[in-house]
Amino acid sequence: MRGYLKAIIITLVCLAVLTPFASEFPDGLEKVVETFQIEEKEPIWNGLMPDYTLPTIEDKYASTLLAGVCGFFLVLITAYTIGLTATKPRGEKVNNKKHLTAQDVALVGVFCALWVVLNLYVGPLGFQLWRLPILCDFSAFFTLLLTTWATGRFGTASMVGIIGAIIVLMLRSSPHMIGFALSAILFDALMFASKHEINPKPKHLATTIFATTTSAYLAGVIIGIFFSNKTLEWATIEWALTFWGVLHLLGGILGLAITLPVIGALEKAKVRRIISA
Amino acid sequence: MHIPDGLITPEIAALMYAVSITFLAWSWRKAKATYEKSLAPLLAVSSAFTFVAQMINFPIAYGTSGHLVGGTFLAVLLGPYAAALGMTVVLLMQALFFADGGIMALGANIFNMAVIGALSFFIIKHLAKNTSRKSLLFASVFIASWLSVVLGALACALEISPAFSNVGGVTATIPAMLFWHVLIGLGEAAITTTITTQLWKLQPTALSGLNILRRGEHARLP
Repeated sequence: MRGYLKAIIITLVCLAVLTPFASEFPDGLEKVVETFQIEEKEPIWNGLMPDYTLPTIEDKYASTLLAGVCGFFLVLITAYTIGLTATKPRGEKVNNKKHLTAQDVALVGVFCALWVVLNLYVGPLGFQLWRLPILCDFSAFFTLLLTTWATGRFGTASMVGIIGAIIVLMLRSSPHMIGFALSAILFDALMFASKHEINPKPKHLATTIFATTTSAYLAGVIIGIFFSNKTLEWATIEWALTFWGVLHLLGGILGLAITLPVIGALEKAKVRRIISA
Repeated sequence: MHIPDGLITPEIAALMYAVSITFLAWSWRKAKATYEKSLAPLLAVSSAFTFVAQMINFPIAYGTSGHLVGGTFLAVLLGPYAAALGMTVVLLMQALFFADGGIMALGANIFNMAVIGALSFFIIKHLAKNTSRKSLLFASVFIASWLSVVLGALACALEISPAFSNVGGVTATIPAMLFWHVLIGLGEAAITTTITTQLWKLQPTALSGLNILRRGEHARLP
């Protein structure tokens, strides 16, 4: 697995370094079309990211890079799923904790969708009603907690955060999603302390609460400093560290207060056993 | 070499969908009989790498550029069946999300890049038959990847020729497409051979495609 991780990092670094040098000239086929001055009919579908750019982001380099990263993970996940399905059926049950199973990939897809819907429609509601960001945190951590609970492993929450954030960014220009994507990664990493288990055991419960509040606070600080349209100066950082970070922390606690009972109910209904069956 | 929807007629699009789906079904069945589950991460990472590599266009000449297609690269890494599947994922995502290659033309694009790319594996196999010499092996990788682009361009020229009927149809598209793609193919061949030789040095286990060749057996992969 180490080697693959290295390959992923090398590829993404190559993408970041080489993108500015990519040739803008038409490719072979486009050149032929130009030479003979053929009229092309209008395409029936233009894609969400035509010409490898995110329409909502103005900076060309950042836009292409994000589109590239997005496509990279889309291909990675789809090809991984195909690699699991188009191969010999497995005889014995394997250690689930090591490999991402097809169920996990499917769950990531489902929770990405949940993330996108909540962040597009529920998150902004809090802003419109009370000018407070707490429903954004609720949207993010409701999804992340459920993801971690359902899959019980490292990586899935980060994936949901990153992919979900990119999809929201595609649909609406809301750069604060980058803050939530980063906080999803921190949340995922902190949950190692409970082996990604969410249950009423005091140690696991404490870890869950700690991970959620810490990463919600981090999201608030990042968003406050970089994405709140304030000039970058000490006053902004102080405001982000105290006021904005704490508001997001409260949002995280609201998320916990709603999600933990939901998880308890789902656990009682033995939903997890149905998923992993 | 990604054909947009505006250049292909519905009849040819449907025909190419049929051809490609037949080939993919064959690949899927072969893959299911051949590969172990441990293939998944290698397939995922190499396909994603191919996607990124296709974004980086390199200039060739006279204001024209080309990019790595990567069909032969995937075939060397994974063997022909998984390579066809991996390449198809790349093309599908490009058509769905990036408007690179049309949705209607997807069948044709899969044939030109995924199917021909995967079949180029058998060119290597034929050329490097019974050889354990590394230089000969990589020479055949070079030739196969060049051929995969040129043959793909030839197929592409035939598929888009109806759109060029005013300027001469195939007599216009074939020479023009081949002229550029003979050059682009050299870039493809150079990049594919470089990456494969480097991987051979760094991570020989990753080259399951080549390893099948060396062991001369098809059944144990990877």
